[in-house]
Amino acid sequence: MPDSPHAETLDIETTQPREQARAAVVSVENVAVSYPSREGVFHALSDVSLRVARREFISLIGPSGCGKTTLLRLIADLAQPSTGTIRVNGGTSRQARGDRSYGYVFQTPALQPWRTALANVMLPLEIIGLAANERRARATAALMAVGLGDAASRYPWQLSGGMQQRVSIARALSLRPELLLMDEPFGALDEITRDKLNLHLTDLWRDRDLTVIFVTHSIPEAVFLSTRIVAMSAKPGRISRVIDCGLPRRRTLDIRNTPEFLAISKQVRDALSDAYANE
Amino acid sequence: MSEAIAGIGVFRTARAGVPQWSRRILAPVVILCALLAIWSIAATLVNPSPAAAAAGIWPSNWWNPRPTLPSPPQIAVATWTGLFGYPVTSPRSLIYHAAVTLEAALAGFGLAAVLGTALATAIVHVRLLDRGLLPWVIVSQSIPVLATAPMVVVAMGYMGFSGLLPKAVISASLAFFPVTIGMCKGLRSPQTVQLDLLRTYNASGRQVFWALRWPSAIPYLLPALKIAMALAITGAIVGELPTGAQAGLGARLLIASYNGLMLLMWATLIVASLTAGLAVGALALLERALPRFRLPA
Repeated sequence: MPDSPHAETLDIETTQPREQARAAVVSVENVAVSYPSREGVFHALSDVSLRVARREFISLIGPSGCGKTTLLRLIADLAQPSTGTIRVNGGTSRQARGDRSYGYVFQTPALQPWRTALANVMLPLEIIGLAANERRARATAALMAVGLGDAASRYPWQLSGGMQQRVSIARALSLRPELLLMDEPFGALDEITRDKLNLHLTDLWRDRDLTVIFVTHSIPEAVFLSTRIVAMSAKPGRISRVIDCGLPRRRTLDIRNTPEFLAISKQVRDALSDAYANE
Repeated sequence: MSEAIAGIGVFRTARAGVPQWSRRILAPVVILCALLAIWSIAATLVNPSPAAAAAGIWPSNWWNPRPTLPSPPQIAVATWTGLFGYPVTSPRSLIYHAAVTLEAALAGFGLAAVLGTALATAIVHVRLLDRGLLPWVIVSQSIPVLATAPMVVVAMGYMGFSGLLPKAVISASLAFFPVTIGMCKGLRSPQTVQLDLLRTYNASGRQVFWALRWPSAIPYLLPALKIAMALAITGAIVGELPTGAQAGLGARLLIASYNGLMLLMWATLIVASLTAGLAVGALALLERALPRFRLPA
């Protein structure tokens, strides 16, 4: 019987700070990113703190330029903060990247056109030096997990946009990470495909006990997927509000018509309209 | 009635098929015929030939044994004789000379492919070389090879190398350039997101090279190799001019020009371009065999 995410969050919040840091998969503390620009110093992120517990699904939502992608890149050690600290699994983000302890899904599928779907999923396994038969087995399993077992031998140009993005999710899963960082992975897809992939993702998250940090522009998507929604605002990029999303862990698309869903959506919308008003 | 309509249908289909075919084959053939016609007229005007006229050969001016401007059929016959009129081991056989030149050109091409790729790899990976080396690579191509070729031959002769190797070096000095430029572009072609992806796997520089940069560069490498092959053959021919070589298409050209043998000169030039065409064509076939690596249209 899975715990409700709400109870879990409360659990974390009642523990002592020192223990909190250990329990958190990701902890971001007083992080700022700024760089010189033509109009003086540009604050991409300013004083951002965030703690993500195991099995949470966090959505980062906000206007363009609010630094949601930057925050994700900091956690992934693809960028460095100007000030503040970032811990992943208790260590530095650099160590976490060295341990390949997260899977990153980009806005675009970023598949290699000369590799088949299966070979694309095998790419990270080649990098970590896995034996060929183990690579094939794990990549096949990862493709099956995203429902693309039949498409293993197809090249990217033979796949639809939605299928390409599923291959890229399978590629991220093939390393068997506990943490998944996703940067607007479904932004370029049509509504129906997006619904399908959202459903798929929430199942993967629940069944595999994943921790997910997910950047999105879509309020329904954020509410449907998340245990917590982090609303951000721009200039300077910062967290404006964190909204708990106490929906059950097992979710189907019908949940979007429940009063709870609509109430949370309204909260997010209100938080965002404040953020946009500040622009 | 229905037959007539069907007939129109067939007619239209046939017509629709023609433009594609004509654009590809007919148009170049028409241009070639026009050029040959102009050439033939010029050959008639330039070469008076009372001897051939006396022998009753028509048009007499086309078959002058020592023509100033040989006529197209005369060149065709001379080329054919040069290629197939002697055993391939004979020093009069153009196949023999083409083989000598091709050997040097292929050696130069191989050198150029390796050197060009190595230079590009270094330039892409070391920022200092991008600023420091690339300008000299470009400058190297503005020096006429006719000026550098004798120096290479003398310098390498001093070191005890002669024959094939100096020619290959001269050939490579021309052919490495497109490979370097193409590979620089190709190795830099991966998008930021592709590089970021490999960073999330904590891939080493070597892994990034083999898993991403190298395969991304292949579509740029293949056209560069085709240009390099044509230049390698030019380079090998030029390399034969100052070496006092007895064999090779360059040596043949030199003998022809010293002795005013215009016919031999033209035949040799045609064999040179046939050789280049065949070598470049072989690379084009290789490119076709690797369709996955072609650039997206």
